[in-house]
Amino acid sequence: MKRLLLLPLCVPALLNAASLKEAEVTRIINDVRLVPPQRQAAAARIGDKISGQTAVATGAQSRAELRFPDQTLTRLGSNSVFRLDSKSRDLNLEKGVMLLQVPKQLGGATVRTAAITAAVTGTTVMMEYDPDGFVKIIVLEGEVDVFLNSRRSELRTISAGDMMITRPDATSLPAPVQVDLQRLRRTSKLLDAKDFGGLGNDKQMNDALDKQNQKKAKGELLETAYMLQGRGTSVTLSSEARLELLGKLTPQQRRALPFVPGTSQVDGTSQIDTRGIINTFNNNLSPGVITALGVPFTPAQDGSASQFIYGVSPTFTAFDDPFSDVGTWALFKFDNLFIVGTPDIDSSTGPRNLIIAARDRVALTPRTLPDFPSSGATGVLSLDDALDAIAISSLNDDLAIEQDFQITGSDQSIFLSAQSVNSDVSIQGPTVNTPGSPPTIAVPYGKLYVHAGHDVWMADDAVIKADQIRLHADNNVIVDDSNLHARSLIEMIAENGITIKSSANLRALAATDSPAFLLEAHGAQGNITMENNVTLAGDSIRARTLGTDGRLVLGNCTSINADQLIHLYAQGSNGQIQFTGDTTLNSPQTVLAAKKVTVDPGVHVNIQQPGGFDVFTDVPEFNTGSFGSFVDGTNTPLLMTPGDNLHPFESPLKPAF
Amino acid sequence: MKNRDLGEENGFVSASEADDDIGQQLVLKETPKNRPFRAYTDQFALWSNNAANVATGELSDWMWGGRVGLGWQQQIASHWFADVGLTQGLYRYRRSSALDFEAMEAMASILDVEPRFWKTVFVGSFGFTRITNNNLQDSLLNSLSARLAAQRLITFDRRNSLQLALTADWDLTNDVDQVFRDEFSLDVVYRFKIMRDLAISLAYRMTYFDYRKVEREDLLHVLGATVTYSPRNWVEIYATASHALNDSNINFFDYETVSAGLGLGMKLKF
Repeated sequence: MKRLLLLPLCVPALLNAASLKEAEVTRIINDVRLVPPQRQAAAARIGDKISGQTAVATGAQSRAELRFPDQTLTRLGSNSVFRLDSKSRDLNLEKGVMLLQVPKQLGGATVRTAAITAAVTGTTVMMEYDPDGFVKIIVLEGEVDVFLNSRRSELRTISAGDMMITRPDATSLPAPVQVDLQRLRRTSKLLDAKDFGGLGNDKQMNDALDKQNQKKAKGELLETAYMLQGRGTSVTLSSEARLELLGKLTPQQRRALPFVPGTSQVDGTSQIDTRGIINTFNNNLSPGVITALGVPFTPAQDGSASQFIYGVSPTFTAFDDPFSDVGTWALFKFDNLFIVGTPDIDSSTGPRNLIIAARDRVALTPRTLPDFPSSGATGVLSLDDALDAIAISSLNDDLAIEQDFQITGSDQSIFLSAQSVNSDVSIQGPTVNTPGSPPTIAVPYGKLYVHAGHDVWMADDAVIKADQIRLHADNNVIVDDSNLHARSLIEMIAENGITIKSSANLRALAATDSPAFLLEAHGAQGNITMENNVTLAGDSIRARTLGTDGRLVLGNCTSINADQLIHLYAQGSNGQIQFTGDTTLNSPQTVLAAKKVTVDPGVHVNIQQPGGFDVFTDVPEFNTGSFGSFVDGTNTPLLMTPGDNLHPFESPLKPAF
Repeated sequence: MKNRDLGEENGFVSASEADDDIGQQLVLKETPKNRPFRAYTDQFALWSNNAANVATGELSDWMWGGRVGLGWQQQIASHWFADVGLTQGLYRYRRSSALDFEAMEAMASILDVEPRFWKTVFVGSFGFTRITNNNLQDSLLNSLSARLAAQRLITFDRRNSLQLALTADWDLTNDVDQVFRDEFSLDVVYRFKIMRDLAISLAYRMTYFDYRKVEREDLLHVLGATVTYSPRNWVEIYATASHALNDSNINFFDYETVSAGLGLGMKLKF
């Protein structure tokens, strides 16, 4: 037998990949630390070089980017730990999420977890590793060889769009599944060009996307209803599938919509689809973006908002009609809520009316809580374009609009409510201890409806501008050093009392025939108090107390100016109008009606137009003895003549309120 | 109690599904279009030191080969496939034009990718071969054969793999008695992936030929090496070298041949 000849083979020498022994920190977002072996962690800085077996650890809402000399690029997600092993040239993901982009070259890089290894050459890949749970690999472009560390022959090559999830103790690798690259790229923080800039392989990324889109167009890839929201392996229904399901919910099921637990933050990065999806920040498990459901709510069909939202019987119904007139609302429910900016609202195919309801507290503020992102905290809630109406409500706690926050719009309706007996609606500006800008609500052609189960507070330079302002409190309405401007109506109704004090400026701008001001205090001892440089200006101004002992108290430079009339009535059987300080009343018709009318000693009540001035009282305590006086424009006491401008309290000549 | 990891030791909270670093993963359902047909072509130029595979009077020559083929494969059960293929090849020699020939092969096969035997592929086929020359005008050989084969791929890791094959091929009819034969072969191919698109393979084939109508038995050894570059999954460029040694009980048919050349192959599924 002849001998076998062995041919000399020319095998190309395997070139090492460019060094993966050292990396430079090129991007830091929030809390990123370097942890050299056996040493204390230190905050990472741009330009830091890591080598040896140094680990990089990121905190909540933190991300980092590292670049190797061969342009291999690594981005690390939040709550992740990544360790370089310069001896093995392996990149070890000890937990968390990383993105790896390796230029096409000989050698490539290997990413190792405790369970599996991914050999990455000319590829962009994301990996997630939970040591207690699973390994996830998603290929964005190119191909990756994945194999078990314990059995390297257990190998799969996965391609662009493939996602493989396996257990750390797996003995075989499962088949991958395709995921939507477009959605992944749109929603991944590690691919956010604003945070990181481009990857530098746009062509390959776009080619992979185009290829997948072509398959989708040909029907070879179909979108399913199943989605993994982010980290982990929990599969949920996609937004589109949820929306489809929402349309099939019964009223009972819609009523049972759960509250989003924990504290949520609606800001400039939040997205609301009024068909019933909100993506917003939440800290229930740990801070991060969540997707939550909303439901449509139509008062005419579904009943009262209190019952539908909170499951409690309504105690306040005065705003039901305007609320119902709006039509269908998109309702989202939370436990605690901070509104710190304007969300991206898509109402193109859903209702143009939005209810944001919290079971506990709602705060509208530019200040974010610790662990919550501040990038979308603009301090402005703009209602333009997307909404016709917004309702913000709390149940068990207050609804607060804090200093430096603005709600702006044009002709929208705004409903603010805090429903329980201890809950206030407060719109409160800066104080000496907390300097800042006053809170503002400005919808010049819109309507503002405020209801509180306890008090409505407007204080410290709060500014309200609307066509109509209607404030209802189950206890007190308190307007303290604030400015209310309305085009057609300012209405304050308190089940107890109304206090307007400290330079409060209430002004109705438009001249109309309808009442411009309506102030009512219903409490048995409920008073309406206007003191300390209060200015009311409008077309007609009507204020009355209905309680037996209800009092109207005016004084200390209070000025009331009305183009048509001023009616100040204390209608209880023991009611009183008391002027405790100098006051100006200026209107063609000024009527005071109370069981007792008192001008405190030394006090002048200036009646600018005495010809239309009438007092209806059984106990006149003015313009006599030691009491103060009603005076004319020249400060001369008016002659109060029975049957002329002084009448009994119950006189039939008394104009209707 | 769960041990605290590095992140937790440094005061970091644990991760949650709410983290949006990785983005939303909307699952897509794959409904790949059934593409049972394949077309392929292969062009190569091969230098041989013994173009006629003869024991004496060897002549070196360049051979150009071109093959085109059509095939159809369809899964017919969970791990069973039916396959039909038709290939026509043309082979031309630079100097020894008398050696020029054409070969047409038609094959119908049943394949079983058997999960109980480590995904070994078992193949049963009937094939028809027609060899012609003078531009398909003159028939040189027509044969009908039955074939059984078993193939197994053993992957060591992502770079190293070994392919083993055993094949038995019985002529059922053959209009040339001198080559009416049965073949039994063993293939061993070691493959090393240098890069994702570049691989080298070393192959050894031993074939025993039992000629049924004449007193002849041959044992053919072929050792080869091939470097293959596949820039796309539908194209490959290769360089190959081989050494063939035929050991026959008739000395006239002993030969030893060294060949080397380049080739370009393309395939398309539709």
